[in-house]
Amino acid sequence: MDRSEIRIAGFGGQGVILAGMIIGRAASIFQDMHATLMQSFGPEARGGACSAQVILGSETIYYPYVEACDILVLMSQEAANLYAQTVRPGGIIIYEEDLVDPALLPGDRKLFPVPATRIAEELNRRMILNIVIVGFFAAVSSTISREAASAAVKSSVPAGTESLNMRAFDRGYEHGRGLLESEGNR
Amino acid sequence: MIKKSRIVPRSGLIRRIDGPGGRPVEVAWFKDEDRDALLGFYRSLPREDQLYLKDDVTNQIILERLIEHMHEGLALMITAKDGERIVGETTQHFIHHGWSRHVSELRPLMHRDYKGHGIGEIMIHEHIEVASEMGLDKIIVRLLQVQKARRRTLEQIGFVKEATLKDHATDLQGKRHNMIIMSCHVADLWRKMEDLIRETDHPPMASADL
Repeated sequence: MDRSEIRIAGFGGQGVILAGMIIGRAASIFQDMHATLMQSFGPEARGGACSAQVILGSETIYYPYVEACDILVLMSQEAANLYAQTVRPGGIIIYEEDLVDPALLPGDRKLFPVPATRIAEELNRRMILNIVIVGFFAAVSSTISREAASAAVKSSVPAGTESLNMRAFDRGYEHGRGLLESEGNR
Repeated sequence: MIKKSRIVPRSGLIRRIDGPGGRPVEVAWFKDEDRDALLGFYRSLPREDQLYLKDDVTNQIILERLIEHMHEGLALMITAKDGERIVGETTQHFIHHGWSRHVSELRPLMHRDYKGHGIGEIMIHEHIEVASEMGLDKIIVRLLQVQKARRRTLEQIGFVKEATLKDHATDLQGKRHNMIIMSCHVADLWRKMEDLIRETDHPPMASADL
């Protein structure tokens, strides 16, 4: 059975859980897979720690918690301190490059930096950094297709905001593809 | 309140989309070289669709005035092209002074054969982004009460009916129609996105359905 264990972590207000929901929705609704989502929060309200555990699989998922993390998405240094070591060797770490210090990340994992906040700011909406991350995730992780992820974004965001959200998604995706291509050419 | 009110000149391709029969349709910002194709488009419209035009742009002089408005920052147009042929356009008209300077008006127009492919939605979404960037609060669209498909499309995008003007339009047969004004509160759209993020990142319970 194909199973991917994913954790997305950051702080409240970054759209951490929404990113997890979109990835799960992409797999379960638009890609004929199974998905579960569990979420946990810090004791604080706004700005507190926040993480989502997403399991994707080709068969029914009976245990919805991450045991050996395949893909970790880090959106804050606090999340990096807490979870970076939980990724299995050879696993993937996607991190917001302006918010996470890569020197503190384990070297035997594949590291993928993404300037999600900067891209979102270039689009004049900082709040869509999570959608940039989803696009980047789709490009570098090979777990969900671009089409499924883009359909999930469109169906998850409020009516009227799709256009800019899709641009954020595309920018994240293209950045991810560019990174993979430049690595392949090295 | 207007935070800023300026039109950033825009050019180039916005998106390529499959039109009827899978033919590619290019959604792009209007450029001056499109003027002949645009005139051809307006003139090719059935008479009843021409009634929807704010001004009689089938007349070249009036079309030139519209283009001048675009140069002056009073309007922005997005076109949909199948090859060199324009098959739709959506223009946003700005009011830079007076009580309604925080409001713009959108006039979408699409060739019948190209409706139902999501082309109009792409153009309207792009205009909403422009309005948002300009700090406008509200976009309105006028339509006839009988234009139910158009109304549904606008509702899906986030527009709501705001007013009905009784017997405000006259069709080719001289029949009177109620006119509807639909509006989209631009800032509210992004407030909804903000609420969505806040509610998912800080819900009262610790699980959510996919």
